[in-house]
Amino acid sequence: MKKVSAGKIITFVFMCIYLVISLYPLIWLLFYSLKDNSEIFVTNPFGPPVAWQWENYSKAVSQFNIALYFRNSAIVTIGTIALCIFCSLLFTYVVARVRTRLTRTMRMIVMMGMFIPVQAIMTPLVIMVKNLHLTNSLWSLIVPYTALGFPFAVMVLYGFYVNLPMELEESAYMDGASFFTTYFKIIFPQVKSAVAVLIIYEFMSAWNEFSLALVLITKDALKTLPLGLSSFKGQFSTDWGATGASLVIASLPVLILYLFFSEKVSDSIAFSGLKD
Amino acid sequence: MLFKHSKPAMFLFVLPLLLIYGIIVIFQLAQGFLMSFAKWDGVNAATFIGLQNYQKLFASPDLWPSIRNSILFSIFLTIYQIGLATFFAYILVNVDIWMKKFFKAAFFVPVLLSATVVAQLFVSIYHGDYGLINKLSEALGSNWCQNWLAEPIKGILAIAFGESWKGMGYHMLIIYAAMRNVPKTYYEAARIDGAGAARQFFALTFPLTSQAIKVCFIMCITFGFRAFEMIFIMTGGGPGNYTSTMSIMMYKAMFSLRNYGLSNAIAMMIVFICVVIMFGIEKATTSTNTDM
Repeated sequence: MKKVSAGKIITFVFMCIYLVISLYPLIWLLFYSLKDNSEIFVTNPFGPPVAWQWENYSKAVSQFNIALYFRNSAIVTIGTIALCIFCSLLFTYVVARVRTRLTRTMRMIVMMGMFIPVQAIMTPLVIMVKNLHLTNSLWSLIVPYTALGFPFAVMVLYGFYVNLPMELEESAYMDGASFFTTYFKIIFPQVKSAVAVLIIYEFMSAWNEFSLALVLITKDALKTLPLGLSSFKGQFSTDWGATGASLVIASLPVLILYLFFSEKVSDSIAFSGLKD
Repeated sequence: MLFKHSKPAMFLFVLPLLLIYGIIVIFQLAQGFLMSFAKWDGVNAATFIGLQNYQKLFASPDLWPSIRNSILFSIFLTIYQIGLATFFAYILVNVDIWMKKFFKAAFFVPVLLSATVVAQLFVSIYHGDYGLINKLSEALGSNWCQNWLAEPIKGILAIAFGESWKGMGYHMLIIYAAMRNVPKTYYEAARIDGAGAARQFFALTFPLTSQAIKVCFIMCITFGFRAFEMIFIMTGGGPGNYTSTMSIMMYKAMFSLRNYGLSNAIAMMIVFICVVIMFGIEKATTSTNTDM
């Protein structure tokens, strides 16, 4: 059985070529984040650094405000995850348990949001945020990110709730528990795996979001990482090493998440393909 | 039983989501639609001007280059992402080669990065003097060197390559998940009937995963018209309108012209185009797939 055909070897070689295309740019980035300009530009553009420039990383933190952007991103991401999942859990529970025309319509309207390009709400959102004087607060990002996260969250949670047997709550209710206690004591612990998928998905989208942050945030002190990083363009920046170092720092949290939970990350992505 | 007696509690449960979603999505969408027919600077009261914003959009010299760029972007994205994603997913599921898990994980890594990081990375890859591509071609002794992002057609395709590089793994995972659900016994039956690998793919895998591939296809095609982040960071739509798209036009209408009516009109055009594409693809595929 263990016969290695020519086709298999060609396929394998092709996969390896794409592996290089897929990973080498990142390795190149990692290398140049540890080099000085003369090494990047002239003596050693491709290989691992000869003289390791760890100070690029301290420069990134001290000169580029990375710590501040990192903090803002963390606040926005955690806020979005908490608010989005909390609201979706409660909403979807009712919608999945009580299936009337009204709840079906509500669910459909939320799900439609998946197909609305973010540009459609951008301009009015910018003006509303300005008129409500929210431009000086990270809430101006957390609330929109939350709203845009709803369609996916409702879709995933609906699938989970529908498959939970109704008897669980009915018997608890007979024993005299209120609506809130039945939900938080009995149902809530059952949806952990769905919540894990959602946390990962919302984390990746909130941590990396750029367009809305660009139009809604003007103060430097409130910029998130993707927005802060976009302003030092590699084209004109003369310090490639420090720029590279900040790009690496910005990517680390999501990469670490993937390293530990790669299966869960894959699950949450596969879920998002079930849009229909 | 439980649900009949808990109406107020249920109302409290659905309220937070409906409130946030209503204010941020439904209300803004309606507002955007109405304001696309108005002259509005966001400070003074809006005045109704009918279709003038749309007329202005259609008269803009940037519109046709932007649409051309979007189409190029979409085509590049579709061929690169769907083509490779389908191919890799098929191999990962059906062909017994070495290091499968590693390939799958490695091809997915670029998806995790933020568009800003990828855009900055590709700005340095395409850099006219010190970029990776120009350094490589220098090392190979060719004079292929150029300022990739400053050329008319090449510029937008170069950005599309960056975008495709970032997104391929996403589509690969979606198609992979669909392909894994095709029962192994189907393939065994096909093999017994003497179907080769190509025949198995086109007669079995493709029809049975067409739903997932269609979702990816719609995402790729509409993305060309929504594309913003990478283009904005890498070139800002320039030089001139070489790499402009409608999203870039919208941003300029909003922030350089302060013409919120016009920017809403552009947004509505983007929505319109995306919806038409979506329904078009939906319609075209349901009429041909009736025998499934």
